[in-house]
Amino acid sequence: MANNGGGAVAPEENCSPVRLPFMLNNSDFLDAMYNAFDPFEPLPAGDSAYVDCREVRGDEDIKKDLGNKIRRADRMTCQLYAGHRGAGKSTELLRLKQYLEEQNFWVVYFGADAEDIDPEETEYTDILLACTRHLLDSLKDSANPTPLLNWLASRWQELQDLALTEIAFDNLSLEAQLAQFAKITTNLRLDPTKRHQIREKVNPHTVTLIEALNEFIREAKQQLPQKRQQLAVIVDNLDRIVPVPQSSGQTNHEEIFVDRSAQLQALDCHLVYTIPISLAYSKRAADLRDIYGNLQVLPMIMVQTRDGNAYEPGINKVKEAIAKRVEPFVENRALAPNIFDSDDTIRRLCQMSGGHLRNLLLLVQQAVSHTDDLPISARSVQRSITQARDTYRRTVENEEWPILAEVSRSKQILNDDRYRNLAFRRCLLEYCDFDSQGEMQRWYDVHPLIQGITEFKEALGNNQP
Amino acid sequence: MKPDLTHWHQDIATNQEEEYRSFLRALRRSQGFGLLFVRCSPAEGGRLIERVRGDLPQKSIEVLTLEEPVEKFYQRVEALPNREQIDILFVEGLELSFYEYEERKRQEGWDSKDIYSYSWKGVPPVLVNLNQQRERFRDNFRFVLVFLLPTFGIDYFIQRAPDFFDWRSGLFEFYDISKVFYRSEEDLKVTLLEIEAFLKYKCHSSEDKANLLSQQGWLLFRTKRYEEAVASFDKALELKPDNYLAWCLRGIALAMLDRHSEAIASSDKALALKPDYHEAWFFRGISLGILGCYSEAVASFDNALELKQDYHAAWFTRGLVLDNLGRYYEAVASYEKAAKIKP
Repeated sequence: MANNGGGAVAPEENCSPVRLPFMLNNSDFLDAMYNAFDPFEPLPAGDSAYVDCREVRGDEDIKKDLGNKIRRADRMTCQLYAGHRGAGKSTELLRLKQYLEEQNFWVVYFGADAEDIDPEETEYTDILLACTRHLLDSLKDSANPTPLLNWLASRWQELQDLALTEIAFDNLSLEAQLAQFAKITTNLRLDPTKRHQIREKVNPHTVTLIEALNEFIREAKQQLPQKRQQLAVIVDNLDRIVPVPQSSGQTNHEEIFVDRSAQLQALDCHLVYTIPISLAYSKRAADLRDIYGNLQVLPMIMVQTRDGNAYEPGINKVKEAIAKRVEPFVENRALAPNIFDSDDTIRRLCQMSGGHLRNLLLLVQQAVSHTDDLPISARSVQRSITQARDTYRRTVENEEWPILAEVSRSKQILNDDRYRNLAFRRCLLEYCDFDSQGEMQRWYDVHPLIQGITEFKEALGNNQP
Repeated sequence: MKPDLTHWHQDIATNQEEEYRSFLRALRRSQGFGLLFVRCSPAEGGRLIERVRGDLPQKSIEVLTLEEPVEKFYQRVEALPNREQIDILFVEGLELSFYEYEERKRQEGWDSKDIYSYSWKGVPPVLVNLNQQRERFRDNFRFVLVFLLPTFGIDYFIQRAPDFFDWRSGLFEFYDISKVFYRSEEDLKVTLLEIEAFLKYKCHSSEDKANLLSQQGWLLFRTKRYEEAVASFDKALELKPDNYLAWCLRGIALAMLDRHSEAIASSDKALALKPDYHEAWFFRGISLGILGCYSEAVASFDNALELKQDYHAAWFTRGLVLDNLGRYYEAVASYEKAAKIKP
């Protein structure tokens, strides 16, 4: 279980980087730099490496957009959050968690993983059960699980066969009962043959499960840990649910988030669900906005304007992200010319990332791999770019190049699966800026790495207006 | 000011040695969990591991060789006895887990839309498993995982485990299609998938592409997929019409499909380019014989035998055709020739 949550950690003050007490030589510096750009840890809230990119992400601020809505609402909210893979969603959600904790909320944050959902076969029941399990886990010391256990007991006869256990539920200790609950919702989840059977048993009873869960939540809210006043659940990683077409002609995404929205919204606490970005662009996007209110999409950092000019404020933010990662051991080295051979090299690195943070991390980490001694040369950076570009080349199918060429001209995407596909694979990136009336505008562009691919250039040539 | 991205859009060529140095640095520098991908052939992978062992004696290196398809890769790694001591874990053979899917895809005739569209169809379970469990890998393993995969295997990760692949610290390439040999059926399967993966990209010269296509045709022929073989040869010959070998093999594939007139036309093309190509004469003779054009068939065998006197199969088949013409004495003489060469 990705245990990032449970509200167990008190919000931290913004901490400044811990500096090393000695100066690293260049080789050790590169070793440290390599590890500082690992792509797999979302930044904890308040981390010194965090860069506030609001102004270059269309004024997007999770605290303001999602946080204030939760804080100000007089009834429960349920909001959706989307963004490109690796754009910084988890980092932002962890900030939201901290913000809400500061506002006296008890926050249960969890990344849905293999124990919670099966990415190919997720149904809304699985999400509810996952919420249940994480709520139980987070509140086990303060809240009374009886309503949920009663629900389980009433279903026990049917479920115990599936749990492969003979034990009588009533005779179990409270903890063992809880463990049984977890066992049924997790272990059986991992067994594909049991999955359907479990759903068959549980699905007709989701209404009563939600009632039981809400009873549990209502009671729990009376005595939240640390005297917190309100409860919020943030479910991360649901964007990893694989889109699978259903017999109904819809995707499973639509079935879960549109058709079953009433159930997903029914929990008596504030909710934030991550959704796959392709769904946010889908023909159901309008429905989602109707149902959930706002649908928040985290855009890329704008490093380039619509007409293809470098956008300085964005580039500076990306540079800052690099600088902050090396700050703990940088000593008196300047980003240029000490760490990189020139400012031009850094700028191009920033631009080629497309304002996408995980791409940036990869480009830097690879460039460090190509380097024996400081400064990192333009050639090393160019090698990283070449490699990353090759991956993109492999991502795009032959018939998709003309679509990319078209978007690179129009800066818009059509309401069509082919475009959503390309957005899902991060070949098309979403940016956000403001027009002369101060109105926020979303626009799309081809990933800058793709712009150098022969096939793309050919398609662009054929797409002359 | 319009940024001058032009030279940044240029690709840079690297040699294998340079690439190896980078790979080594990444392995040496990595602390704790890490994820690296290497694109290489199985044989190259073995050499690479040995070389890394020699160059990084301070690291504890283990190799996990998968010899059959796996579904739950995480559990395989978790079960390694000395997991706590490992610094670098090489994983080879994961591509075996993708064959079944490839096979299904081919048999059910899925088009690339089914396979690559964001609506996923029958993804190999191991990839779903990896994609979903990446946090567990990060949180529970303190070593660098290095996946050694052929091109089509890397493509699978890009397409079907994007979240897992996204956590890589690098993809290193040591692949040269011209050095892929196939000694076994398994090798043959890999090579076919490799060629398919290579052909997806336009970045080849038409010469290279034609060569890949005719190699594909030959491998498809060897696996008795004659129709597909003909299609590959057609494409290859469109790019490079002077490839007599491809014309000849195409002819044989057509003959296997019982399309003898087309087979003869294909052999004729080969012979127009290379009149002393005895195999083409021979197979042309066979198709003519099957169509009942016995005299022409005998003439064709004669041409083959003029070029290669000890052509056993040609003497023998020539005998069969002469039998059909009622020229029994000549037929017997022909059989005797054959018997003399290979008693």
